[in-house]
Amino acid sequence: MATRLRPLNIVRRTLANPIVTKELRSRMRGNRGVVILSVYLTALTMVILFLYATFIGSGDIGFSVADRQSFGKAVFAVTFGLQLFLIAILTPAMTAGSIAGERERQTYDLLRTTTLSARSMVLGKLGTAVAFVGLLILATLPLQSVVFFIGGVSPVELLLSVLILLVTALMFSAFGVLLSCLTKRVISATILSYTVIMFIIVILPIMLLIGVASGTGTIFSGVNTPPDVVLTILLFAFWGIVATNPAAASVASEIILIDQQSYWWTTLDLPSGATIGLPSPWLIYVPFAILLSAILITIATSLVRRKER
Amino acid sequence: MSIIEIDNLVKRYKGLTAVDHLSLSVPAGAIYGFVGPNGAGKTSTMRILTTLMEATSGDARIAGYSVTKNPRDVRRAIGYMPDFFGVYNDMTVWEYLDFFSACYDIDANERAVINRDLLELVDLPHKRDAMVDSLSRGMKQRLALARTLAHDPQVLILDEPASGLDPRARVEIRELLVELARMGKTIFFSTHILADVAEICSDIGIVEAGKLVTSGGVADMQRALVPTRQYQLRLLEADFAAAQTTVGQQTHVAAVQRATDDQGELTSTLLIDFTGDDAAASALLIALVQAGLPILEFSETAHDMEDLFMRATRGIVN
Ligand SMILES: Nc1ncnc2c1ncn2[C@@H]1O[C@H](COP(=O)(O)OP(=O)(O)OP(=O)(O)O)[C@@H](O)[C@H]1O
Ligand SMILES: [Mg+2]
Repeated sequence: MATRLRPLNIVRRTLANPIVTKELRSRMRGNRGVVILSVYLTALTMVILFLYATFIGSGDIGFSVADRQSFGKAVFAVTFGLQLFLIAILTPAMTAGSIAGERERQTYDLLRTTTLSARSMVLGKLGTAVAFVGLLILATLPLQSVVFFIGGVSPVELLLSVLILLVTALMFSAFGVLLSCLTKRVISATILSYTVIMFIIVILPIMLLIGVASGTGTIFSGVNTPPDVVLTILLFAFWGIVATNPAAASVASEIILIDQQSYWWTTLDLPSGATIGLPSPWLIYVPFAILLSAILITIATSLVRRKER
Repeated sequence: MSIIEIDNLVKRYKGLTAVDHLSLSVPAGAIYGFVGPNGAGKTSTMRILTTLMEATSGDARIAGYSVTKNPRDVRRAIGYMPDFFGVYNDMTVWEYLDFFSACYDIDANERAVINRDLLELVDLPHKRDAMVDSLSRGMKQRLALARTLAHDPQVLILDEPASGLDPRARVEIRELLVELARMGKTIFFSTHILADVAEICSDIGIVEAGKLVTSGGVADMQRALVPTRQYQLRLLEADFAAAQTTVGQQTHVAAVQRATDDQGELTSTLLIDFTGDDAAASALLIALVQAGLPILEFSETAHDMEDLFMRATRGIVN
C-alpha cells in the first residue's frame, strides 16, 4: 500500500515545495505560458509548411517513396534543430535568475533564514524550468508525429530525439542554476549561461567538424599511419567528445542509424584492417547529461547552503 | 534565563574588525535595544545570529541552539527582519505571506488561518490582495514583521525596524513590538533612534566599533551612567566667558559648557554638570545670583537616552 502511494507522494511533495508553487504562479500569470506555447507551435508549423513548399517547388523531385523518406528526415532534422535552439534560448532565460534574482530582490536572505532546505530551493528552481521547457518539447510531439505519415522516421527515432532533448534541457538548466548561484547579478548569470551553451552547441561541434575533416585526411592517407593503439586511443577520445555533446551526439547517432541501421552501435575499420566497435553516442550522452546535471545541482546546493564569509 | 547568549563573537572582514570579542546575553521576554552608531557592527552581529554569516570566531546560542552547530534549529526559533525589504514585484500581500509561511513547512490549511491572524495583527487585512510593491513603507515594514511571525518563533531579530519611517509609522511599529513582547516573544532589535530605546526597551546594549560598551536593564543603566545631574542656566546677554568661569568655581560643579543649538551656533545657555543634591543646587543658585549673573532660567535637564548614549560612547568616539 505504502509503496503504491509513493509516486503520488513525490508529486504531492513537489507541489508542496513553495518555490515550485511560486515559480509556477509567476510563470503562468497572465497566460504567459500559453502564449509562449502557442507562438512556438505556430512557428514550428510554419517551418514545416515552408519545408514542404520548398520540396514541392524544387520541381525535379517526384514523390517516390525515397523522396518522401528524405523529406520526412528533413522535417525531423529541422524540427530537432529548432527544439535544440529553443532549449538553448529558453533555459538560460529561465534559470539564470533563479538564485541571482533572489539576491537582486533581496529575498535571498529571507529565504535562507527560513527552514526551507537548500536542496528544495535549488530543485524547485531547476524543476520548474525543466518542467516548462519539457512541456514545450512534449507539446510538439503530435505535430512531429506527422512525419510518420510521410515516412523516413521511426517512432523509436523520434522518442530517442525527445529523450536527448529532455536531458539536454536538464543539463542546460543545471548550468543556469549553478551559474546563478555563482554570480551576484542576473545579467552576469545570463551572459555566462549563454556563453557556456553556445560553446557546447555551436563552437564545439564546429571544432569537431574541422577536426574530423583534417584528421581523417592525414590519418587515413596511408602515409605515416600511426599504430592501431594510438589510433584507437585517438578515436576513443574523439568519440568521448562527440558523445558528450548534444548536437554532435545526435548527428553522429543519426548517421550511424542511416549507414548501419543500428540504434546501438557502429564499427569502424582501421587502415591496418582491424575493426573496432563503438556505442552509438546517444547511449553515452544520455547518462552523461544526467550525471553532469546531478553534479552541477549538488554543487549549486552546497553553494546555497554555505554561509556567507 | 537568557534566550540569546553571545559569547566572544568576532567578525573580521578583510583587515577590518566589525565585531570585536562581543559577549552579551538577552533575558527571555526582553525587548532588547541593540544600540550603536553607523558601522558599529550591529548588522554583522545580527547576520551571524541569523545563521546567514559565519563568525570569524566565537559562538552564539539562541534558545539553547548554537548558531554554528545547529543553524536549522536556530532558524526555527527566530524570525528575522533585515534592514531592507525583499519584495517579489509580482506578488500580492496574501501570496507573499503564504509563500514565506510555506517555506516553514506549515501546511496550507494552517497557513490560511495563521496568515489571516497575522494580517489582523499588523492591521493590513484591507491590503490582502494588493500588490506588495504598491504598499507604503510603513505598511511594508508591518508586512515584513508579519512575515517573521508565521512560524511562531520565540525570538525576533529585527535590524532597524523603525528606520526610514515617519513618526506615526514609527509609533505603530513600536506599539507592535510591545504587543509582541506581551505575547511572550523576545525582541532583539538594532537602532540608532534613541527614543525607541527609551520608550519600549527593558534592556539595552550599546556597541561601538564592534565592542560592547555597556549593557543591562534600562533603569539600572540610567542610574549607573548618570552620576551627575545637569542644570541649564540661561542668561541675559552677558560676558559668557566670565560667567562660565564664575560658575566653574562653585562647589559641586564638575563641568560647565556653553550649549549650542541645532546649527551649532552658541546659545545663551550654560550647561552645568552638577554632583550635589537639591540643597546644594539651591545654594548654587543663590551663589550665582549673588555673583551678579543676569539669570533668566535655572532648571534641571531631564536625562534622555540621547544623552546617555553620548556619554556612554564619548570616550571611544573621540
Ligand atoms: N560584507 C562586508 N565586507 C566588508 N566590510 C563590511 C561588510 N559588511 C560590513 N562591513 C563593515 O563592517 C563594519 C560594521 O558594519 P555593520 O553593517 O555591521 O554595522 P552597523 O552597526 O549595522 O551599521 P549601520 O548602523 O550603518 O547599519 C562597517 O565598517 C562596514 O563597513
Ligand atoms: Mg546595520
